[in-house]
Amino acid sequence: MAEMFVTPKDRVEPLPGLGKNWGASLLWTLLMVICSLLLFSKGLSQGSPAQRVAAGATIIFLTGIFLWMMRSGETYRPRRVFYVALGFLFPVGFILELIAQRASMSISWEQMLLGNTPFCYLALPMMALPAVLSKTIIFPGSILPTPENHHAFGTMLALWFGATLILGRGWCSWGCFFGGIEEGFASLRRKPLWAKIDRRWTLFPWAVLSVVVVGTAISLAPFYCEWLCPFKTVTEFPAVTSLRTAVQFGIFTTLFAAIVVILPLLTKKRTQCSFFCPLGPIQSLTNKINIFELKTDPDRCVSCGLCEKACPFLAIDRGEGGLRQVNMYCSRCAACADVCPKGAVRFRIKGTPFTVNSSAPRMMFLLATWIFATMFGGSIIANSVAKILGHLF
Amino acid sequence: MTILFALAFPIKLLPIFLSVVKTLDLKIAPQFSGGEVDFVIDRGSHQIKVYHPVYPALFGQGSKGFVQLVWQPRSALPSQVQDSIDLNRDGTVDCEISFSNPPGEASAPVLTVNAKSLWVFPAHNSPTISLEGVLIERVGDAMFVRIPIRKMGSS
Repeated sequence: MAEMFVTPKDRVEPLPGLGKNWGASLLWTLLMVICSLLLFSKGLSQGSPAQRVAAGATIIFLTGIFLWMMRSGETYRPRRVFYVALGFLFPVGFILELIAQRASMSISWEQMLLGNTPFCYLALPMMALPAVLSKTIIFPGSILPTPENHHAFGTMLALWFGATLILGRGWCSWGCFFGGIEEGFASLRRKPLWAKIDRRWTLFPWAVLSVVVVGTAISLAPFYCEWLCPFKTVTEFPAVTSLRTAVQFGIFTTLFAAIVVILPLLTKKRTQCSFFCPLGPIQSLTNKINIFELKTDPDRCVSCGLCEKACPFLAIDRGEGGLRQVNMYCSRCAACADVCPKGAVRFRIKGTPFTVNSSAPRMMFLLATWIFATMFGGSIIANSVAKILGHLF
Repeated sequence: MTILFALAFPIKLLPIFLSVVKTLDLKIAPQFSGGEVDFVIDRGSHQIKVYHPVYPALFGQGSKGFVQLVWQPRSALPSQVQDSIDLNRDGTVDCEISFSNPPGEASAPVLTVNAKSLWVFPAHNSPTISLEGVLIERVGDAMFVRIPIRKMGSS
């Protein structure tokens, strides 16, 4: 805080807010409503009563979130409401589906032998080396979608690739439902109990990535899924019938409790995503090819450090003179942009100059991102709500 | 462009991407898929699909593996199945397999493999601790069995 009020930049006036007037907000929101209706048309017209209600409720929910973003000029808090809803509704819907199919959360060997295990995008990094070397996918699923398995390797690869082109590491704040779980816990406290975190922990996911890639190549099984995935706790896991499966279950639940629940609660940071997830480093690299970025205007930054405190991914570096800069781990959650008192941190299209008082880059990012979020997250929310309604009524 | 891409993705681009994936000719690793069917033994009331031997390895083939056999339909099988199988069609029986086929799902099937050839391991069913360790499993109206084998010349 001693860096404040000591440079001429301190006299930088804040930029006008990014919120739009009611007319513009409603027009942009109407565009998103039309997209939502197109994307949910099947659920609205051909689904069961529960599916129709769920689709309608999801459209209303998504519309409300987008209108909030347009009217207020905020991005982070509306996005968080959507993202936490996605994070908690996905496992509820998934577990209800498992109970309906098998009366159990245990992995079904029948499902694996038939190649019907849904492919999880977290397994993608482990698949690359064997796929290149032997043209095989080390996962008990299917390559292309089938009537029994819509979540084939090809489908998830396509979704991930599309999301990456649109969002870069924004996948980690707008797409990946697992992150929504820990973001929920990270938002419970107003202030962190544990604020000082060694930034070198952001390198640990690279070590995890190396271990799972090598482990998969050696064991010829998806190593992360078998031994390290904390989200097995809220999806499916091998039935505990031996010492090996007991150890596996112990690891899953311990990791979930520690890095998805407790550490986010104490630090208000996305600890699983920032310090463990092996997909994180890959997603960070994809920020290089994504056209959108959050960047600090050096002419406006007054080195107050609020962005650094707000960032859930420790993705803000402190440079010369205390100037803050967004680094490659940025997940485009826009916590930094929303908290910056001078509008120094803003969305930008790579290669274009900072234009004062322009919300165009943010709008373009939000339009592309929200279309994807509606398609991916929205469909998951609608599916889960439909299952809950079907269960209740 | 990015906005157009986001709009076009679910409608047009996803099917195109899946077509590209199809051309890559990727396969699910055989230790999970069981490999390809080699031949079918017709026993009248049921059939036995015998798969190609699988020797999982990152490069080439490993020294140990399995042969997957599928009895189908399970509903036509007796409560105790006994069969002698020539796994490689060289005219000699490689193993004698017997397994129980309990009705319903309450009891687990019990498998015994009596190896007759050096490249087949004798075995009895064990808890299904990993997919590679699966030896017998009911799958729909079929019974999946995996016979542990080794490459000749390996220990």
